[in-house]
Amino acid sequence: MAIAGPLQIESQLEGGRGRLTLEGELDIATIPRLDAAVDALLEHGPRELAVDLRPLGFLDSSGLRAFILLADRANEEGWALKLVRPQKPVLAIFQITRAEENLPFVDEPPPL
Amino acid sequence: MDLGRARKILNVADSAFISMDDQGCVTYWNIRAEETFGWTREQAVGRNVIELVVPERYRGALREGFRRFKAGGGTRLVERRTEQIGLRADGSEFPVEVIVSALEEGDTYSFHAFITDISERVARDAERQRLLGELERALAGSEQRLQAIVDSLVEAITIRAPDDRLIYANRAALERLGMASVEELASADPRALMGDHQVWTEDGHEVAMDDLPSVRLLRGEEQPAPMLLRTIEKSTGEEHWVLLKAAAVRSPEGEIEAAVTIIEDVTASKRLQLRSEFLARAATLLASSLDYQQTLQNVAGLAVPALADWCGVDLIDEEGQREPVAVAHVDPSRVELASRLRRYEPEQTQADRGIGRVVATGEPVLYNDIPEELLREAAVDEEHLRLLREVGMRAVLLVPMKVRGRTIGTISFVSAESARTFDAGDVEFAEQIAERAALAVENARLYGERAGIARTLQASLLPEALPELPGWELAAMYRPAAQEGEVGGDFYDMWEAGEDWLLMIGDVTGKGVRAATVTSLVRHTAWTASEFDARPAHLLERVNAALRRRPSLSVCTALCLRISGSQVTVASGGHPLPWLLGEDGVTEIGNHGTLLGAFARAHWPEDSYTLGSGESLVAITDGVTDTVGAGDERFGQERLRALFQEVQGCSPAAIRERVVAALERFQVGAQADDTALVAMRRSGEVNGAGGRASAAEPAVESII
Repeated sequence: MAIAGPLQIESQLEGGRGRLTLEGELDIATIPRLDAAVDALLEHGPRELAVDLRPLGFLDSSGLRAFILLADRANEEGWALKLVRPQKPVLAIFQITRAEENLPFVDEPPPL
Repeated sequence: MDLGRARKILNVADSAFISMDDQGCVTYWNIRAEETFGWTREQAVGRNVIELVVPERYRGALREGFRRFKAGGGTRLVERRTEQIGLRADGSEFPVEVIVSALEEGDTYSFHAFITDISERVARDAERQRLLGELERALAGSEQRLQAIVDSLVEAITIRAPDDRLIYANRAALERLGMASVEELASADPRALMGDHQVWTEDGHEVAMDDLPSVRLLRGEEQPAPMLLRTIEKSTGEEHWVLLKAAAVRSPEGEIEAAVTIIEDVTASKRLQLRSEFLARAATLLASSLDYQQTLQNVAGLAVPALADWCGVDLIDEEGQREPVAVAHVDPSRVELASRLRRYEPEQTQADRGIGRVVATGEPVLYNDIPEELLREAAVDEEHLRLLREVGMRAVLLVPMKVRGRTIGTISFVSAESARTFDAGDVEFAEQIAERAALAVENARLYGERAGIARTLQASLLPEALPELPGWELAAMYRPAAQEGEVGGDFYDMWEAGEDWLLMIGDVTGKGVRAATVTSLVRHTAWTASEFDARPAHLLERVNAALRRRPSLSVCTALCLRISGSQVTVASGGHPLPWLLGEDGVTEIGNHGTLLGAFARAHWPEDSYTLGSGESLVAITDGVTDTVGAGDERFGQERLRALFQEVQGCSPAAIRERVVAALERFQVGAQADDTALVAMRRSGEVNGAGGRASAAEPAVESII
């Protein structure tokens, strides 16, 4: 098995707003760590979760799938998901797949 | 397996090892070569070997030798051990022993040389000559002086009378011959003395007393050449290598009175030489083939008779079942005996004995004495016992083949006819061989498994061969990710729809059976949809709908091309766009469409292009651009663009090869993702008989 790649996750929670900042590579090896971080934050029942993708260096198709699943989950569970628009070339993945227009992207993270 | 691994092994060889091309230009230079000649690898590689290591006065002749070899004339230098003079970086000269081999590489050659510094040996020879002279002078003088001189020598010295009896031996020689005194020696039958040993030449020919230099001298032969002999003492099984040199003692009238023999024990240096040669040959063999059964058979063949009379290799699976894969004997007719014996050996090994013990402990097992009781104990019946006796085992050495601490097999070395025993040096040597063989097996297995995955996948998820498309040349490539035992998520397919052709290439997120199921769904949906409406956007829309109906999120990217004569219509479902390698440059064509299976709101724009003769389209999956290089850098769009600019106008097969080569050069570590590519070039007119696609090259190639 591949060793979990270099993904750093910073997790913040304040007044019902959560924020995850992702740095490094999000792929099939590191997705379980994103899932775990999301679950840990959602346990506190925030009404909004922002995922800051600006420091993210790489995303593959399974990483993309993870965000689609997360958006579906936000719809079902009734909280708001915000994805902070990443740099090129990670943004290119969302553009090639036209996921950019289907996922809740914002340019700046909402204040905590 | 690669040259790199062979070189890693050669780097620790005991001899200098130099590879060069057919111009004599150095391509490889090991650590020992650095020490021997005083040039570092950086300094040596790229320079002409003749200018580097050969004194000026010999260069002309050597250049001529190279020229002759290339002209097909052969040369006395190749595949023979010769003594030459070497040149060091500091200008000093020294004697060397050289073995050169030539490898044919296409229409050219590469040369590989083992070079050993023999200064010490040459100095020893000179010293021996001096002693011999002194001895002759002493023989002419007093008895006591002679006695004093020769007894102080480490080398064994004997004197043989014209009637073949040994009439004198110094202390060292008496020890060798197992004699208490000169008197006992003088009264012994010389042939019986010889009979205590088995003696062979370096080439393995048995040596009789009449072949010995001293005896030949006494028979009137002038200055017989020194002989290098391998001897095994029958009572102990000890193996020695000795160098015999004889000189005549003559009367004042010139008549021969006796023959003096100096016996030098060269066991240590000879073994060292044999082992480096063996390891070098084994390294080449192990690196040469991915067919590990054949490779192990070759290695077993090398081990006889260098190390043992028999050599067998067994692979052991995780349940302790053994699979005999190779056996070798000097005499091929004896191999049959081994296969008969195999029938008696249980497939299941036992942890307390023989091979099973080696597997259980990971340690070598050595039996230097095989008493009859042991055979009786091992035999299951009389016939088995008879066969075991027929082998005539003298000593058995079993060593583990270990990979990352796990024993995957054993190598058995059996001494029989030669009656030699194994010492600590043999055990260490055998372990080295086994370690390398284990690595070769592991590599071959990994390769085999990956090849198996690719075959399975190609059979089920890829077209068996690309069709012949009038007016187009095609090539495709599929490289599954390095991870073992997984079916990849990339696919491509090409099929006919009325007058037109459809090409689909895609990437299902995920791996394994689930991904394979989705791939299958995508392909079948697209096929069915194309029967009603072959527009690429329609196909993607149907696939999207099918994926959306699945209970769990199943996403897939796919690129669909409809080929209608020289016109190509492109639609992408979240897939990287195809590249047009055209007259006016290299560019991505088409527009991005929505990932399939992901969103309720989706849109797939269609764009059409007409390709001129010689223009190509290349569709890839993201495994190409996501390939990881040094410093975690990705191959990326810009490198791909630059590469395509270089191959513009090339055939699809050539484009494929260039992409594969570029990725292999760039890639660091194991391949993380599947990689697929389809390339198509517009070759000529569609309508009419002239529009046949080239079928000269294989349409699909799996490169793993």
